[in-house]
Amino acid sequence: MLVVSNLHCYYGRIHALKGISLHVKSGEIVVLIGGNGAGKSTALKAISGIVQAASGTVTFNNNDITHISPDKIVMAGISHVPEGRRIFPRLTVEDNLLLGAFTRRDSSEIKKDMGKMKELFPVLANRSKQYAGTLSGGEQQMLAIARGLMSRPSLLLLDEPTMGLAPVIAQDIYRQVIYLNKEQGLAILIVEQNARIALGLAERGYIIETGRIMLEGNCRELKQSNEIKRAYLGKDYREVWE
Amino acid sequence: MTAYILHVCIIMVLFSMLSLSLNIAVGMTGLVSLGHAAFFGIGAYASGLMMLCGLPFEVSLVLSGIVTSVFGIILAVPSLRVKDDYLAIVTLGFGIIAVIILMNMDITGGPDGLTGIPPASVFGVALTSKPVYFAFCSSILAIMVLTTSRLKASKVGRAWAAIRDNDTVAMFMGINIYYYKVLCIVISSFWAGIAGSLYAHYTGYINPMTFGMQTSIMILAMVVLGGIGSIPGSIIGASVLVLLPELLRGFEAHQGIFYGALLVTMMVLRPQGIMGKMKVTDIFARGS
Repeated sequence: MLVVSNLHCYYGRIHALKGISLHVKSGEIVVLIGGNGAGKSTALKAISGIVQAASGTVTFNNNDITHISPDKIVMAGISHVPEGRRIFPRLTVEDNLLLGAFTRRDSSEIKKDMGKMKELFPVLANRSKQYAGTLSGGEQQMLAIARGLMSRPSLLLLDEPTMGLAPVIAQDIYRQVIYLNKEQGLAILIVEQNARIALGLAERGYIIETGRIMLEGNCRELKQSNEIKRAYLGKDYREVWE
Repeated sequence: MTAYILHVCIIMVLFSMLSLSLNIAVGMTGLVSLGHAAFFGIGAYASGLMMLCGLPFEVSLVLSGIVTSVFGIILAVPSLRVKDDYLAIVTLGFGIIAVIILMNMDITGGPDGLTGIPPASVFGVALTSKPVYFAFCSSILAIMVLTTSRLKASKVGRAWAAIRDNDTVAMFMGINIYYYKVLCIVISSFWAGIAGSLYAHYTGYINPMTFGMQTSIMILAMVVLGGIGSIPGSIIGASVLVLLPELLRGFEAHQGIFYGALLVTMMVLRPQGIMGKMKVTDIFARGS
């Protein structure tokens, strides 16, 4: 469905992505794990066209979308939920959701989807006229995901959806993510710093370090890898090496 | 006396149009402009020149709005690559350049300005009397208020609000932010041009100094005082700042002090303006 091959990106002179290749099959949850500044978010931004790729290609459903504008990419069916739950704070919850459906023209269907979002995330239902900035962190993240779903994507890019949230709320959010994947067949590419959660969630994973993919594979195998245990799962050194 | 009151009322209406047109850019879309009076001037000169060339008022009124929009595009296309404080500086430069050009071109009459601009007349009926002209300008303001509030509630308005709140995230939503920013400048400068035309045919005489930085900052003060992003606020802000110097005429020498004190007090006690919901710092000087 999504195939990224040998993607290079620069921020000015900084070489942020040094030839990333990854793919997401339809109906799959794939996770991208890495530390700060590894290039996880940049990879997502390059897919959704916010950051221009210097070389390499991104194809989606066999169409080359490498140099296509972000609005066309949304229309093609990729929705990007940015990190840090960047909702529009001075707009109402309802307006935020409507903005998610900005590229669509079928207003009656949009209305139906608004109803669905309120079922999926009940906390949003009785707050539709409230300013989004007054929601709690967890509610804002749910709004950000709901807003991302309003464009009716076939692939959802989630950038650190649980950053700074209480574990209970993080669990709640991942429960919804799994539901979306299992029940609606939505393909999801998640960027996550918390390797333990991420590996438990996805089928396949990629480990990214300083702009390169260091490891990839089935999540069950990745969890067993000593390298990962040491660097991301915080296992005791002795347990790993002795 | 009535003539004087009507004169103040007409100026109030014209500045309401200016402040509302600037609010479309600043308050609804977050595009800060310190050169809005240049659009006012372009509209005034365009309309004056067209009528001096023999075009009827109805035509030159509409054309002056369109001509001003074209200048808006000329400004917007290169300058919208920057935003926030940087955009403010670019527009400041634009305002200064516009005045210098008006001051030095032969066709605009240089520093002497344009004289003998014919008064407005619609379908053969002259709008020379003040009450009639006041009614005419008010009805155009009413049209402007109506279309702007429709626009604000529409998909376009929502895109503008998204850009104002966070233009990167607006891109994530699939909004072509460049297109909507240019559209905003086009509409904003169109109305400023219309106000310029109405002003030129009202006074019959225009000169470049009317359209300088002083006026730009005055219009911005009206927006901030009335309320950033608020349509009634734009009109209230303009009315207060036009009326105030008139009411303070008795204190000639101390006028500026009162005027300044009002703005300072306002910003301290009610930073969101009379009708607004956003603070100045939500638009200006925000870190991105």
